[in-house]
Amino acid sequence: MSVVYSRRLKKELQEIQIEQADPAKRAAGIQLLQAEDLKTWYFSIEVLGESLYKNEVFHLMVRFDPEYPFKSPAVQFVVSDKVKPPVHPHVYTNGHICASILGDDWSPTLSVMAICITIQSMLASCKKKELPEGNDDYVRTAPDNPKKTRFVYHGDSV
Amino acid sequence: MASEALRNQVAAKWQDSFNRLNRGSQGISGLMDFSKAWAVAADFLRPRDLGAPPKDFNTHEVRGAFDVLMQCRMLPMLLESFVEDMRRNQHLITNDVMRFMAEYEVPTDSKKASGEADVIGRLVLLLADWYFAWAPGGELGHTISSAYIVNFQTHIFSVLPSTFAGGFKKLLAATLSLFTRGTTPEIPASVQDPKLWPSFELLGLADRYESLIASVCYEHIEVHVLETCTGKWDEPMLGQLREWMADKVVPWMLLPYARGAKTPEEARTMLQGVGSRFDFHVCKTLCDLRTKEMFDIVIDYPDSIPSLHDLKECLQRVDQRSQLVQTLRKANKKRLLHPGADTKDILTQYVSLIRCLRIIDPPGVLLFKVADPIRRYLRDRPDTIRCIVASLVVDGESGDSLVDQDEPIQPLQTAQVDDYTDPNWEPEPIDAGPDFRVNKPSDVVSTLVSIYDSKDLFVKELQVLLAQRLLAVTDGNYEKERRNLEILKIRFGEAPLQVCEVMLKDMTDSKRIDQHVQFQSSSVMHPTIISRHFWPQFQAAKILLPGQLHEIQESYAREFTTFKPDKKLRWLSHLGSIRLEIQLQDRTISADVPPLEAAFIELFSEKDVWTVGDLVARVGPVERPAALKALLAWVNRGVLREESDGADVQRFRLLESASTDAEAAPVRMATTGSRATLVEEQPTVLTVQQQQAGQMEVYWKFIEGMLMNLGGLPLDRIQTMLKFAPGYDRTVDQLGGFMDAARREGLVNVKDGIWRLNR
Amino acid sequence: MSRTQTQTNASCVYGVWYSLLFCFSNNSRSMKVIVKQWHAIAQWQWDTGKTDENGDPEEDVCGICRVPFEGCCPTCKVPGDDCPLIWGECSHVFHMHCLLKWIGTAASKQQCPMDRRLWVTAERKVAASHS
Repeated sequence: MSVVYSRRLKKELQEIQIEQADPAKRAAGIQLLQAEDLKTWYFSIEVLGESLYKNEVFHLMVRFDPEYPFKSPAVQFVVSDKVKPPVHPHVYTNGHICASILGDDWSPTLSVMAICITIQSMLASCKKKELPEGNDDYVRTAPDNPKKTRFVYHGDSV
Repeated sequence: MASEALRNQVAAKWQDSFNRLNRGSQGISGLMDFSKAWAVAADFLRPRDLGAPPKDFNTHEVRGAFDVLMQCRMLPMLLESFVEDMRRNQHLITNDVMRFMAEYEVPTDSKKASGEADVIGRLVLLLADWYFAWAPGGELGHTISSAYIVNFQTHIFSVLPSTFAGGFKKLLAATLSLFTRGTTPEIPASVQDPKLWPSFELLGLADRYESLIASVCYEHIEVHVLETCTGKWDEPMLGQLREWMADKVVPWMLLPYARGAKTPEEARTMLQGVGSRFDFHVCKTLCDLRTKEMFDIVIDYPDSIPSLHDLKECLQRVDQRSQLVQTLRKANKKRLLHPGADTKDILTQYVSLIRCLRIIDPPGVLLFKVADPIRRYLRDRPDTIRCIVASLVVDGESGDSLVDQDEPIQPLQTAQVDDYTDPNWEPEPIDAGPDFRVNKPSDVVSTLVSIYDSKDLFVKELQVLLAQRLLAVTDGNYEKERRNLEILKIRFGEAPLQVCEVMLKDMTDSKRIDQHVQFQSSSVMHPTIISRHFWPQFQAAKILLPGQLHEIQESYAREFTTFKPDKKLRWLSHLGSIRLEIQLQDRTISADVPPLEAAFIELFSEKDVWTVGDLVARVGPVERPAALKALLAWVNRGVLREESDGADVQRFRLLESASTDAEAAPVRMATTGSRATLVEEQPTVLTVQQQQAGQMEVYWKFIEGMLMNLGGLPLDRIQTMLKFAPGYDRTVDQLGGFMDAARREGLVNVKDGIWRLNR
Repeated sequence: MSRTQTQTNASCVYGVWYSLLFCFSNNSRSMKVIVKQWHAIAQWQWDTGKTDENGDPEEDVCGICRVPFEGCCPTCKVPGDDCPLIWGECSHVFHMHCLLKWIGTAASKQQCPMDRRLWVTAERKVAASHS
């Protein structure tokens, strides 16, 4: 519908790529891995400095629908043989993330990089590595796309 | 010791011979008859000198004698004796040949070709006389006459010196000239002798020198083609040449090539093969000539169109397409693609070339091959796009547009992929290379634009050009630009020119807004108000205008905001022009000046003498050369005078009264005039080139980060990565140029194609 | 006396009187620069109320489409009055078309994309900034 707004996404991609090439501007610990089109991008995320996730690298998959930026992208951690999602009270073992900015608190003024930084800080501020409540139930019934889930946001709002 | 048997055998043989000669006559009377007949026949056949009086033979008696000899089966013997006689008298002919050839070979400058031909002609006629004088007569049977011919010709050829061939060629050429040029006093009688060609035949010259005859004709054709066709491009020549062949050369060809033809039909059949060879030669010669002249033919287009049609026909007969390509490429390289040539001229020649080669070769294979180096060369010229764009914008006045005004305006065409379902599809011509792309009937503009991979550059350049033209419009009439834009939209499509659309809208909006503002509060100022993101970048030179100029700006801006409450104006103070009237003590000067000049003179109304430094300090970031240029403009108008007191400080003084400074002024003007020319004219709108250089600096950060993180990289890898940068649209060549510049500045180094940062 | 008078260099009410004076005072300045006509070039800019260090209005982009305010939103082709801005009571500014599109989605809950307060379009108090 709003294909005209794809220019906004292109712009974001270009900005990210410029930042990545410039160590001074690059957001530490976040790296664009792949962005071959304007549908699915991959990032790697790690928490630098002291945290529960020291020396762990996670991969984030970001999927856009044509309504972006009026609708949030679908964001989840990649689960594969090589990478696992972090053990975190808001991250299910299938990679789905329970974060309000990805749902109810989304705003079109947010950006992909803002999401990445939010998730990075969500990990950095984690006090205890534990799985979300009802993880197994959720994972068993969860749709493929986390956006189809209605999360109830709890605890520290991120 | 002979045996009996042998003796008997000899006796029988002798008896046999005797019986044959005696023919069963009484005693030896038969033998006597034979002896007499031999004498008569031998005497009849004996070769004699031409000068000797002809003997009177009784035909009956001679015939009788030969009959006797035939009965005796002695004709072979007689023939042998005749040949022996001929051999013994050969010196008579040899003498004549020597005499004539000596005359032929006398080296005199005055002797013309016609004279030489005459000597040979007379020799041939004389040899024919010898031939007839010695000929045994056809009634004696085929054996004797053919033996005679062989022996006679063998002898002649053995005594003719090697120089004869050259002379014979001249003779042949003279006979051909006789046909093509008509009888002239210069042509000697021998050449015109009707017996000449029969003599060639008799003497076997026609067969022996067959290749010579052909080459005479070839050379004649070449001379004629060069004489009549060189530089003559404005009328079709091939038809005329063929008429000339039919009218003049073919009648001559009948002589060597239709010998013995009994009917015209027979002659025609005999001429068919050779005629086609000569027609081929006409085409080839014309083709060679036109190929050599091609570069100038292209220059002369469209006057030279007839010659192009000729060449097209020739090329269909003679396969010399690759020569044409080679020659043209060489000529283009030598005469066109060098630094001395104007880009405009190169483009003009290229466009003519497109049109010329399209006539010769509609599928465009030749064009593709010839154009390739031109296109590559043009691509590297910095002002090519500007030239093309300028020619796309119809000026109305200048008639030297590259684009034919009659050519329909059509959307740009891009090289198509072959559509094999197209019923009109044809395979590519065989000499099309693998990279040949069928550029079906694509128009000139499309071809020019396709020099570059992307048309974005054109759109950018168009934007710059349009900006320059719009800002120069003072009478508020944008109709011409509107028309131009409409035409360009047809070519480039609506979407890419959307920015230009906004530019034009800005112009009309400005006019409307100004009417409003003037109504609110009248002002001498009539600004053009532009939408920043839709115009090319302007050189940033934010000057501060002093005094009343500033007040006029402020007042207009206020009125504008009253009219458009949520908008503000931001002045591009260095752009535009101001009409001033300078009232001085003894004179009044009117001038249209750029804002910087107005600012300076306004400052002189504060005080009479200013240093350049003080002036610049008041106006803001102005380059010293630009400031000097503005001041010198006033010096040239006689309003200011440059003063120097030996110190480095340059000072300018206002000339309130012209008369008091009359002595000093002219001198000053002369010196400052020469200095003024040192200051370069600065275009206010950044050219695409300048913009690109500026943008490249932005990408430098990108490149630097890349090389820092990844170490050394080859150029194409840098290019690939730069593609991620926003708006990056440089070719790898342009990147190469930039990297080279960076290397010269000591920022990077390159080794084995790997670029690294200098640390 | 003539010195001070010429230095005022003001309106031409006393023009005749001045020129008479100039005839006698060789040292005085009489030059008058009169602007007859001026073809100037200016850029228009939205007055978003914010200014940069030079006092010029800040060049900002719409937070939704990331296109400068003086450009136009992705659905428009012509900037300016055809693609106007919209101001919220919360002081945030967007291309009007971008904001309306956002407000039109259920997810927006009618909130400003910047501060998630209920969006209330502001009446512009333009006169205030240019008294």
